[in-house]
Formats: sequence, structure tokens, C-alpha cells
Amino acid sequence: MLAEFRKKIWNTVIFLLVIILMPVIVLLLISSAMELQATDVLSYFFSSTIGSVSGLLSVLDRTTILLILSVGLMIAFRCSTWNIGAEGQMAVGIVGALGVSLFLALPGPILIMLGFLVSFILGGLWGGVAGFLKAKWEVNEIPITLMQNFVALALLDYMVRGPWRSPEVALGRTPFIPETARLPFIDFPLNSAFIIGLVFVPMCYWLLNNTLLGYRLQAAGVDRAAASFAGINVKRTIFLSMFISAAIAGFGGASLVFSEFFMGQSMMTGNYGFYAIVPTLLVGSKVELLPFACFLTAVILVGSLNLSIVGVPARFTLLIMGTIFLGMCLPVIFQRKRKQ
Amino acid sequence: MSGFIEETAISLLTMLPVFLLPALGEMLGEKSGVYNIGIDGVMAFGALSGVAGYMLMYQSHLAAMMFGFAGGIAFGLFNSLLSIRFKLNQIIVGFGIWFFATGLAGLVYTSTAVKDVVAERFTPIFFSFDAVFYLSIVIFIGFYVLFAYTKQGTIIRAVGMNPRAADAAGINVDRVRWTCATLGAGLVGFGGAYFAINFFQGFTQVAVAGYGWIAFAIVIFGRWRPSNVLLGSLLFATITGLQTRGQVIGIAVPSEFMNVLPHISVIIALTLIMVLGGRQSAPESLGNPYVRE
Repeated sequence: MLAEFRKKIWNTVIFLLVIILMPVIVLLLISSAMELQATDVLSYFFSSTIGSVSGLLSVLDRTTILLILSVGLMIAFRCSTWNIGAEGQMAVGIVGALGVSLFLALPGPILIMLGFLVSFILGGLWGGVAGFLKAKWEVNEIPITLMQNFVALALLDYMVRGPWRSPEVALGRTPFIPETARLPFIDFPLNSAFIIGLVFVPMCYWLLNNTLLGYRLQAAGVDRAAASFAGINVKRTIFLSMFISAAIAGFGGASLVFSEFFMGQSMMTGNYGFYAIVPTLLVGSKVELLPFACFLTAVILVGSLNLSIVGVPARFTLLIMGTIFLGMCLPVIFQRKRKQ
Repeated sequence: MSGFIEETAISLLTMLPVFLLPALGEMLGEKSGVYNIGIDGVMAFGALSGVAGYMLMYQSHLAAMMFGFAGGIAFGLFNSLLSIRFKLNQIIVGFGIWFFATGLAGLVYTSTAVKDVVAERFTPIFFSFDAVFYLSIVIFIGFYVLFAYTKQGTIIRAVGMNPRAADAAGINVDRVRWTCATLGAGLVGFGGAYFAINFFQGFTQVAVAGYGWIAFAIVIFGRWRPSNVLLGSLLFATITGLQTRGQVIGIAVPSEFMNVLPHISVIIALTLIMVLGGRQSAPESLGNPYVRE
């Protein structure tokens, strides 16, 4: 009992050390390589994220989209369907939300709800293709969902530069959506969509732990053959996990339209579909920790973006993400060493 | 007319090593039971180290390829350490390596002199193909012979299919896996270096975006057989070649869609091969760490 408790504490300590120390180490290495004052870099990183009110607000704003996407990914990953197509599913959702909000003359709240619904369904259908192929013919979903990203992003690009392009501006973007169809800001830049993101977490927890579908998803995720012997329709479960996961990613795309951009432009998905993989895998099966993991990821994203102002190349975001990822492996390695 | 056909054939075939080398590398690791999901990142890092080697070693193409190989080997060792020694989930480790390698390549590229390198293309030696093209054919033949006729090939297959039985037969499973996964990643980096130097004349941020994943898909498409992997690489070399030629001729399709032609082809090709192909032919223990009892 005591040994188990000590092990838990030990794991948590390592976990915290990894996720805090890894970015710091990478930052120190980079600043020494760039011949910058390490303390300047660190203090700027701190003050532009959690060290100031405006920084904190922008971090929470970034947390929103990561939270929605990670909840979606969580549902796929728990079923061991490796959906890495959230980026493209988001793009399809954006196209759906734009199609609704640019062309339908409806009252604002209805427009928003309809936009979310359409993007939810479109995203689900888009990702459902990969789920269907996986369930029916065991086509590996990793290359399929990844390739779908390129196609979906090209579709978004084409729509905003082509048919839906705003006539007034030279840049490739659509006109703005109606004022009434914009979600209000809590305190700029934090949008009320943040609350939607937070609501998704208990919903996901409930779905995975308190429903039959969630039980089936996780059983099929642990062992397909055993789940099949237990009478679970594994193929249907795989398809559903991918459909729901992609639908939520599409929903995330709509939230970008209604809460952040208020229009469509290329590159607006901003790689969040890939970044969201990090917090999702970071928490493992513990859905309740997702908000913290997404918050941490958002700190790194906002901080590294701001650091480009002091001369640190913004490209190191992915590097820190990868380091945290691999740092995550440390607790497992420690455990194995202690067992031996 | 024959000149046109010849020219087209050459322009379609020049892309072959870009797909063949990484696909064979990935296949080698997977044959022994180890995924390299980070293939796209490893290819990008191989491209970067290749260009860095070219710059540091006084514009030597040989050095560029060696550096690319070494860059791949570095991540191959890393992947083997985490996936084989510590038996972690190969997919999660792969995602980590993908992010880490891509990020590292991007950071080194933006913050060092690598971004200013304009490399010379490889000089054709024979029938307007360069040395790497012929080398990739030789490596292919080597793979074919390895898996069709040699004891070592059988050992690798056994380790990927049933590591317990292989272990009982006195084979050091972990050593075979370490060797295959590491050398395989080396080939991925090698292909990346060739791609960067011969097609981009340096490293750019978009250099390998997605091509590593196409190589990953070619292995599945080729059902883990060297000859089919060659066919798959030829197919995708042709498709990417057609894409660039289509833009030259001016086919009236929006460029956004021409650009994703290879990616759509992957989806179609993988689906077709699974629908028509019947039984699964992946190594049975692919992705499963071997725990000795």
C-alpha cells in the first residue's frame, strides 16, 4: 500500500519534472546556441505566457482549440485507431461552417448552431472514410488520415482563393461572417468558445467511462480479438470511434470560424491538429487531466511564438513538443529499471 | 517523338530513389517487427544533415549522402533504444520522433548557414541517371537476394513473424531488430539527403513534407515484398513526375488539386490493394515488443 503510494508520488514527480524541465532545457540550449542571454529568454517566455494577464488570456484562448481537438483524438486513441487527420478534419469543418454562415440569411444563434452541426457532420463523414476503410478492409488508418490532411487543406485553400474569395481584398480570404454569428469574447482574446471546450471534457469522460459505447471503444482498443470474443462488434466500434473523433475535430474547425477568424483563409488550421496529439498522448487514459495538458501545450505554443520577437526562431515549437513526448517515456523506463 | 518519350520516361524515373530508398529502409525495419512511424521526420532530418554535410565537406556529394545516412542512423538508434530496449509503444515513440526530428531539422535550418546552401545537382553518369539512381537499384537487388535466397533474410522474417520461435531456435531477437531498424532508418535518411540535394538543391521547410509518409504507404502497398515495393515506388515516382509535367503542359485543373495528386493516389492505392489483395501479409509481430520469458 505504502509502496504503491510512493510509486505514484514518484511517477507524478517525474512527470512534472519532465514537462517543466524539458522545455526549459531546450530553451537554454537554444539561447546558448543563438548567443542570447538565457535569463532574458526564459523571463520573456514566462512573462509572455503565464506571467501576465494578457499572456494568460492568449494561452487560455489557444487552450480552447487544443482541448476540443484532443477530446476528439482521445476517443480515437482509446480505441487504438490512430487518427492523425485532425488537421484535415478541422479544415473540412471550416469549409462547412463557412458555407453555412456566409450564404444563409438566418438569425445569429441559429446560424451558429447550424454551422457547428454541419461541420460536425462533415468532419465526421470525412474521417469516417478512413474509419470505414479500416473497419471493412483493415486499411491502415495512419497513412490514410495523414494523406486526407493534404486533400482537405487543398480544398480549403481552393475555396478561399477561388469561389468564396472576398471581392474587396487582394488576399485570398473570404468575406467576414455576419456580426450576429460571432461568439462573444469573455475578455479579448479569450472567447466564450473556451467554455465549449471545457464542457467537452466531462462529456468525453462520461462517454468513455459510463456508456456502453465507451466500454466497447476501450475494450476494442486493448485487444481486438478478445473484444470480438466478448460479443462486441469490433468493426462497427472502430468506425464509430473514427467518426466521432473526426466529427469533434470538424466541430473544432467551426469554432475557429465563429470565435477567432470570423472568415476563412488558408493556413487557418495552424497545425493544431498535429499539436493536439501531444496532450492527448501525454495524459494516457486520464481524461480529467486533459485541460492541464492542453494548457501546458498552449503555454509552449504561445511562448515560442512570442520568442520569435526576441530573435529565437519560432520553428522550435515542434522540437519542444517532440522532447516532451520522448520525455514522457522516462517514467516508464524508470519503472522498468526498478522492476529489474 | 521518340525523343519526347525518352525525355518523359527519364523525368518520371528520376524520382524513383526518393521513394525506393526510404521505402526499402522502412521495409527492413518492419520485416523484423519494428515500425518507424517517425519516417517523415527522419527523412527530413536526413535531408538536413545531408545538406549540412555538403556545406561542411566542401561541396562533396559523397559526404552529403554519408551525412544523410548518419542522420538517419542516429534516429534509428534512438528508435531502437525506446522501442526494442525499453519496449515502449512503437506508435507513440514514432510520433515523438516525427515531431522531434522535424522540429530539430527546422530549427537547425533556420538558425544556421544551412539555409543559404545552394547545392549542385548530382551529375548524370549513364543514360542521364546519376550514381544514386543506380545505387538504389543495386540496393533493391541486394534486398531481393537477401529475402529470397539467404539465411539472414529468413532470420529477419522469422524475428518479425514469431520472435518466440526465433528465440527458441537460438536467434538473438533484439540484436536482429536493432540492426534492421537502425540500418533501415539510415536508408531513410540517405533517401532524404538525395531528395534535398537533387530536387531542392538545399534544404527547405517543405522539402520532405509528406514524402516520408508516402514511402511508409508504399511498404503497405508493396505488402512487405521487395519487388512489390519497387513497383509501388515506380508508381508513385510516375505520379509525382506526371504532376510536375502536368503543370508544365498546363492541364486545366486548379493547382491546389494537382498538388495533392500523390496524396489522393496513396488513399486509392492502399484501399485497392487491401480490397483486392485478400489476406494480410504484414509481419505478424509487427509493432509488438518481444518480452523474453
